[in-house]
Amino acid sequence: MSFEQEQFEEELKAKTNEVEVPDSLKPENIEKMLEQKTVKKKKWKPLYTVCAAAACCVLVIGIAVAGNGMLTKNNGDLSETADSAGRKSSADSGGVSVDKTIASAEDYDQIYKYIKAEKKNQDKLYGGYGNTGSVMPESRVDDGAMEDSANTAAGSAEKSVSAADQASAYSDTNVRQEGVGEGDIVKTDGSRLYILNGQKIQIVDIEGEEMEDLGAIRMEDDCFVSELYVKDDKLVVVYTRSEYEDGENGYGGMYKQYTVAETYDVSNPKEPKSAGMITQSGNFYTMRVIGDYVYMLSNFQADVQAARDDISSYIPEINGKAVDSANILLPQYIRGSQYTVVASFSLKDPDKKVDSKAIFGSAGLVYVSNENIYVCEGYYNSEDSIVTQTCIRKVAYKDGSLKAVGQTRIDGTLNDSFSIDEYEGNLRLVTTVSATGRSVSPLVLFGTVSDTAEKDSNALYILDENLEELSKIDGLAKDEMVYSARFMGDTGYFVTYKQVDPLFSVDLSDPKKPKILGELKIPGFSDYLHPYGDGLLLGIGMDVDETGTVTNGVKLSMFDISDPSNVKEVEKYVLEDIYSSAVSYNYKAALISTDRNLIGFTAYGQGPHYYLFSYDGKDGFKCLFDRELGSSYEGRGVYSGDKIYIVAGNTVESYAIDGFKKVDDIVL
Amino acid sequence: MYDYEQGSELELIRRSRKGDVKAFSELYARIHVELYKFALYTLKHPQDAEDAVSEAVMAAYENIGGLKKEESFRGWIFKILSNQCRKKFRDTKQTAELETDIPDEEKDYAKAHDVREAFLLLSEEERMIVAFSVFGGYQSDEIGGMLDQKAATVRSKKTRALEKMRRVLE
Repeated sequence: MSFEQEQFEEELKAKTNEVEVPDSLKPENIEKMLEQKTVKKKKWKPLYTVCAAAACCVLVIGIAVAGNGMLTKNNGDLSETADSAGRKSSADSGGVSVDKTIASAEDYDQIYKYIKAEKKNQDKLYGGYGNTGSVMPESRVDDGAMEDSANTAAGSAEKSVSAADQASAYSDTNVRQEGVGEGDIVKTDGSRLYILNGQKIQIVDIEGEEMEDLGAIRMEDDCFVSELYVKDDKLVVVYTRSEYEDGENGYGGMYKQYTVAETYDVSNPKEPKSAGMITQSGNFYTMRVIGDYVYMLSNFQADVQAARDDISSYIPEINGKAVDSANILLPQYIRGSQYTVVASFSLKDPDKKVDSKAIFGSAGLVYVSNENIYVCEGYYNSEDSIVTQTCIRKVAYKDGSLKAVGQTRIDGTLNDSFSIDEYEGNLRLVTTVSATGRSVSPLVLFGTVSDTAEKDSNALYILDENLEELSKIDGLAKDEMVYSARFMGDTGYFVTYKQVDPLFSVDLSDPKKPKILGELKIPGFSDYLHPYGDGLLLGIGMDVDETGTVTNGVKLSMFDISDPSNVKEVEKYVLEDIYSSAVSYNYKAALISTDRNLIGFTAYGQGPHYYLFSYDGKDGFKCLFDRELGSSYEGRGVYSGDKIYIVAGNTVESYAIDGFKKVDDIVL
Repeated sequence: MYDYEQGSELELIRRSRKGDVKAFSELYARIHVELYKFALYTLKHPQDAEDAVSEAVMAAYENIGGLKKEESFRGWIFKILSNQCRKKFRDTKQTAELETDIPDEEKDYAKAHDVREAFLLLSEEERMIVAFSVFGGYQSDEIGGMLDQKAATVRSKKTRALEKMRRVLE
């Protein structure tokens, strides 16, 4: 942008400073409006009772279902319920198939039908905002229909079992699942650093005392680079790009986003050579690497307005070819607009796709275990269920090939990928269960406009390899939400929070009979949990005072879990005036090595800082290092040999791990 | 009492998801002026702008569960608002078709002496792009993301639009 243009924009902004926000839009009035709205909905009660009486016989099944839901909900005393029959009927009621087998699309016509159904649903949604105050049952439909952002409970990506924990000469990205590699913005192979810096991928030699800038791969301006991965002199650069497609008569043209995994041969790091690429429709979501196979996941948004013959607008493509209908997995309901597109390739042959699947529905959180990919989509439909739900589809992977295994639907939504974990073939999940449509829950039908209808609770599920329910504990921690979870073999830990932070420990050794072992209540919360050697669990989160009102700063907690039934917080360290840590949003921002006794992360106060801590039983947490990071927001710590490298934007600083004396720095 | 004004965005979002009206209002309060300006200069009638913002706020409140963990509240509500504005464009077009031909006064450059009128010289799309840039502070690539367009296209459209505005304002 030219300087004059910038100046002119400033001028425009200045000239509009006088604008008076109308009274109705003042925050205090918006607050009142929202409060009234909630109250108004509660006032429907008498009307609803009349309606309910009138509709009583029609609702027999519905009531039985809701009743069942309520009973389990009220069954808050941690007792498990093995109610397979009851649940199935409840799931069947909504026109949502709970057939455990995943159906593939017959042809594109079928997909098109789903897209049109989605469009209809969206139109209804947009039409619905105007008459929010009216007592129309339709507004319930609208509330439920807004599931397609499919965020699954604040679910971003996933978190970790640290590969960095292994006694290794150099650190790897903090990953969700041990043995399953992930990309990040900084990677190392022990002798070089690969750094994503805007449009450039910088390669830095770290073998000597002094770092050496080996050069950079410069990407085109329209590439939005997300992540890197390096293995055996192969560097995978993942980026999203858009391409213009003309519409009819040159009007209504559209930009289509696609994800590219381009592999470079970096055996001569001064002259990286492109060895091939794989492209797939949609925005990059995440990647996994197991052995030589790379699995690329993107989210593709179908155009619900698309014409039937405009196939590329609603069917994703891989390497420019539309995905075959047999590889498109249909959702459990007849409607959809988004895909999770999975394509695999081998690092040895990086321009050839090995296999692909397009998981159609609403897209959502993905968890990748050592053998399976689980796509979890939030499902909020107050007509189907009185509580929020999650649809789960399981796709097995091996040596690049992908196979649909099965699907199911459970109550509640996932906080992040640490809330779902595969172990010995079984799947364990902790979910937060909320009423659908918030205050317009159909529970009003019972005349119980009590608080319970709106209160969250939490549930633990154990499913077998076919996703059949083995056991379930529900009604946990009323009115609280899951903030973090960590499954470690036969024991699971999760933190729920409202004002004080109970850390639950669960015995999962008998998958048919999980047992809550303990509940530790402390102020504040941890939103990331990480095993820290024998009998210890590290928590990173926020310290909040007993009343739950004043946030004191970022908190490190060490829990003694040697006796899971009696978990203790043995140590805590509060970083005052530091209001958040990058780990709360992205587990990859953490560097945790029990082997080296290092806990590193970026946290934000006045500006971003990089912190390194150690922990021992005698001295507790010790802050080894605190460095302000210029302007860059995302810092990473990486170690190799006896040095640690702090990478932030275009600068790298190296320090001796012993004593943290600065060795060198380099500006790229 | 929780100190809402000091609350971090993440915490306020968490509270909002649980139906805490106060937390949501605080999120809104932090950006409401920008939101209103965006709508005011994108849409022709102030009443439409007021409606668009209040509808967007309602939609955001009801669907805050759809806000992804890594997304910012600001970008998300701006996107909702821009959709509401586009909807208003459609609605006004439908009603406009019913009206008979009224001589188009807005094309009279001599009268366009203030910013609002300068905005009205632009196409709907240009207005959105400029408003995103000036009131939202968004870069061309981010605007491209919200409008499904290439950053380079947004950039050239914006340059053209600002050029038009400058001619009448100076």
